Amino acid sequence: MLTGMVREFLAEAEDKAEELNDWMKEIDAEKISAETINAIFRWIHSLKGSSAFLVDEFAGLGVFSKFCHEFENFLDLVRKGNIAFDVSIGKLVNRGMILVAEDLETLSKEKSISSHADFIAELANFSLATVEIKDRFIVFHVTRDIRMQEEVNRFGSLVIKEAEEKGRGNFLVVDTVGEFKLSSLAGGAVLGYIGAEVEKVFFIRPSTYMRSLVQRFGSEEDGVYLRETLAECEEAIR
Amino acid sequence: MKIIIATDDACVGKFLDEFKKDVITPFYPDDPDNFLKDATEQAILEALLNAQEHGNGNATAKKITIEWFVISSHLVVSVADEGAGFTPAIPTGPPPRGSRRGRGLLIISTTPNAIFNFNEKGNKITLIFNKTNFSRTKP
Repeated sequence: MLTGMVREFLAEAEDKAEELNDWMKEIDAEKISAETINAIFRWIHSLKGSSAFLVDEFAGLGVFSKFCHEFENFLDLVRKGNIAFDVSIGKLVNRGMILVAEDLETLSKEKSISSHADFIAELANFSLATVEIKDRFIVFHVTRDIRMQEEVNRFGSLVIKEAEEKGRGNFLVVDTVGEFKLSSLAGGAVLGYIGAEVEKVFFIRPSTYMRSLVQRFGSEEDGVYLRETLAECEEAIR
Repeated sequence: MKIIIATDDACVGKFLDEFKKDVITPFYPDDPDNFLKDATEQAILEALLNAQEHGNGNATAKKITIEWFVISSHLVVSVADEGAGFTPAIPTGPPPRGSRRGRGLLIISTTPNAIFNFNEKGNKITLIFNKTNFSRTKP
């Protein structure tokens, strides 16, 4: 039996149908604006918060809230430009919105919904690294191994965007968080900027093996640096 | 053991994950910092990427054949593609500044606990990993 608050939540979400349709058309036409992607992000963010708040009243909303949380994280990377928007990303955003709309409809009739584990895994494929700009450092915090060609291409696009936008005089930092691995192609996606856009590339928090690998990528004379922290990188450019 | 996979990111990634779990991890029971496991996984990854991109030209219909066995303290792994083969030029050092390519064979050739060889045609690489007698910093 749905309580008044849960019914209100589901009804409010259904009111979004027309707007949702407009957003999806815009994405299909590959002309998505920053305003729209922000609006989608805010919608999912708000659904996540409200559903988490109502979990005690209706258990099915726990699964829904978790799904919204994953989708929201992905949308956050898209709206910040950490994931470049293209046709394949647009398809994922649309699929995510359809799943959300279907879940809301299902929840008004049934007690449980799917966790959408496959879709969440697909989102994770795109979130290879988050970007932090700190003074002259463009830091890529790697979030998983970057091995296969498709992953490297996505990572490479991210590096290109940041390195070329921020221009000369900056330094690239790859933070492998002590556990993630890069293929030779992924290393090349970053090291390819030495001498062109940037003077130095730093690898921080390497695992024991990554340390050995980076040493084979080049020495400080080649512009390849190994450090433990960003503070040590700052020290190295003084 | 032998397995044949399609020239495709998903197939190569899945194979590598399973190979790591079922073969590499049990092969190095004493490897507290994962150095040897990581080095072995990386060398095999680079061999697979070369087969995928250079050997089979990313043609999904073409196959990559992986064979392996363990003998004493050695793990022997070969990766073969359906390409025309090539005469491998083993790099003696990292590529020039700003180069995006040219590190795959370098990584394989400097893997601390491995030796390798190509077949005559140049479309099959065999790697032999030694888990007991090696130096962590290969010259």
